[in-house]
Amino acid sequence: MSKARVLLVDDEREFAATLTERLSLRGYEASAAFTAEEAITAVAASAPDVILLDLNLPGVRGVELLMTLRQLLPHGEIILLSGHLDLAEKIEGVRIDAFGLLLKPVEMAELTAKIDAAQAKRGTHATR
Amino acid sequence: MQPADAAVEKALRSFAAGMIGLAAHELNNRLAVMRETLGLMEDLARAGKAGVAGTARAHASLDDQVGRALNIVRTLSGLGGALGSTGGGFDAGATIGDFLGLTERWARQQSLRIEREIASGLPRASGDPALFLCLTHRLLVGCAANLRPGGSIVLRADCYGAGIRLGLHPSGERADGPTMPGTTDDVINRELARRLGAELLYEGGGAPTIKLAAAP
Repeated sequence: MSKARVLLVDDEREFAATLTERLSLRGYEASAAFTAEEAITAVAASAPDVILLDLNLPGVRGVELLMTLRQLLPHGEIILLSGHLDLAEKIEGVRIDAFGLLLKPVEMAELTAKIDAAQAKRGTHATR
Repeated sequence: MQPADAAVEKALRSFAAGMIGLAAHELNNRLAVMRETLGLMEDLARAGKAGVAGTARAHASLDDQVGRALNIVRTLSGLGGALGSTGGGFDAGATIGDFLGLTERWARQQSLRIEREIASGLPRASGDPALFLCLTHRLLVGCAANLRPGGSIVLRADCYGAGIRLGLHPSGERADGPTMPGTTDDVINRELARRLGAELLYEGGGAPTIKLAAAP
């Protein structure tokens, strides 16, 4: 199984840039989007395997962005990664079939295990 | 418990939970940047790619994040002190400053700019600062609901007679949201104001204003 192509969507630029670099050092093809618009453009252009999504982006309801990305990427996996997830977001994340929910700060081993599991799930679907 | 007591109790709990949530969110984000910065330093060292410039950048980033985390802790501590005070009045200007420090993330998410104009030499305000902050927060959320992204709200505190006047002045394109006066929310706001011993008015264009008495 090849390493996932990962898009990290987070307005915390320093966090996103650093995590993207760390994932790249581990063999993932990682890139970052800092706004909802950038995320939609990136997904439409490159259809990543896995999206790491912070639901708390400025100027947009996180759940609406999640639904938009889900429509644009029906065969990709979306993992929610946030400094805070309220109950409504958790419920909505499950309803819209997010692959997982991770709370910042996250351990790299936990994150990469989740990304790999998401990629494996995609592979399973692809071979059906 | 009377219905009004229950509503006020619920509003206060919701406010406190919201403030704690905002602080936890912001601290988690600062810790996340620190963890990733340290992790990247370790990754680069293991790969033999760590350079002096990269290490210096990482140190500067860590220093910045620690400073920002400390600001949150100080703000939270100030707010905790205000909420825990009993009698003797409170410093409305400092309390508003601490409150706005915690609402920065919320304002960014709403794509709103929130500014404060606190006059110097304000007297200490009378009443319970928890009621004051809860009311201010509810009015701020009400103003935000009536503004489209890109708008701004100025919190202006000045002397008014012997007391203090806090006005919330929204500007920008109006949304089709609810207006505060006459809503169920406003019934709770007026009850909060009554218990605070303050007057709640909606002045020109519906801008809410709290008039607080000075502490004796």
